Amino acid sequence: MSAVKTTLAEYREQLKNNRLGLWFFFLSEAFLFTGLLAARFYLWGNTRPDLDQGLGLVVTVILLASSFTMNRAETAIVHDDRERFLSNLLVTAGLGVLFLIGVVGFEWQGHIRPGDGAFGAVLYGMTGMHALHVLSGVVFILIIWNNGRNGHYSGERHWGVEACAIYWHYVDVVWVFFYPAIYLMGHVVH
Amino acid sequence: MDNTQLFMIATAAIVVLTLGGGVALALALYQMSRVLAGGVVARLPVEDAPIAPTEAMALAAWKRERDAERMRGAWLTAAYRTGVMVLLWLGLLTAVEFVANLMGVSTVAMFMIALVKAGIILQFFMHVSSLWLEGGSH
Repeated sequence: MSAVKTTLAEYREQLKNNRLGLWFFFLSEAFLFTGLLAARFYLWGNTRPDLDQGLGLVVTVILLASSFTMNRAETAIVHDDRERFLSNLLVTAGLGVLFLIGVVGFEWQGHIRPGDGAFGAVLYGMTGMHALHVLSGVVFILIIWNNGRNGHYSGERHWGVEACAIYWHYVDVVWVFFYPAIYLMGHVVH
Repeated sequence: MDNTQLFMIATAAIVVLTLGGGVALALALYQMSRVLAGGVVARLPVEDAPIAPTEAMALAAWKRERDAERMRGAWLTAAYRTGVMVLLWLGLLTAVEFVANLMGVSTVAMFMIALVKAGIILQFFMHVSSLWLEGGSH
């Protein structure tokens, strides 16, 4: 917590600037992910590699479910329900780890390697960059969880939670576009 | 439709139904806990004996607090319900996306579905339309 105590009015004014900064950050991230998507359509065209469809669907559902639990955590702290806030944060972090295991532990152990031409380069570039964001999101969530456990945040002051939640949802939005681009669009090339 | 495609559709159905079942169960348990909590409140002694003025004031204060608590509970329930509905819609659209792929639907249509999903998350989870509202919290 900041050493300088602010009034609620000052805090709310500061909140607007914080949100603006966060969304500018998302804008800059959007350029990165859009670049990766553009590379996928340029290099793969109307084709895609033969990937495990079941795995793609499962990790997608896991990530969507994690957004749901994150939303529950944020709603809980808004209403000062600390117990539910902490438990939902932990579930979200767990689902994030499951997603990482699905992508890195299973998808990356498939028959496509990073050096396998355009398919390998784009697949590992997209999933790797996204997995890095999921990993940082999990770390962010655990920091917030630890702060919450130590009594930080309240219904009126919880910018850290809000930023963490929005970041996590943003990572989810990116996957909403990556999932069809990697697993569904185009004809399979064996 | 070959066996692989059937397997994929079955997997998608299982995932979606399992998720839906889990959510339905969670909702049922939540509703049950609310009913039980409501029962406890209903059993509180309210009008047993003639009430002195100070007791009447205390009772009025208790009722105000109870009403405020109920209102907070109603807001919370509405917020959680919105989250469940968003999850169900996202699951449904993902299933549609998956089946559309098996049916050979165009890339543009897939992209449109993804746009709708992203829009739902932006609006209901990221609260993009209320970013600059007064009042601090979303």
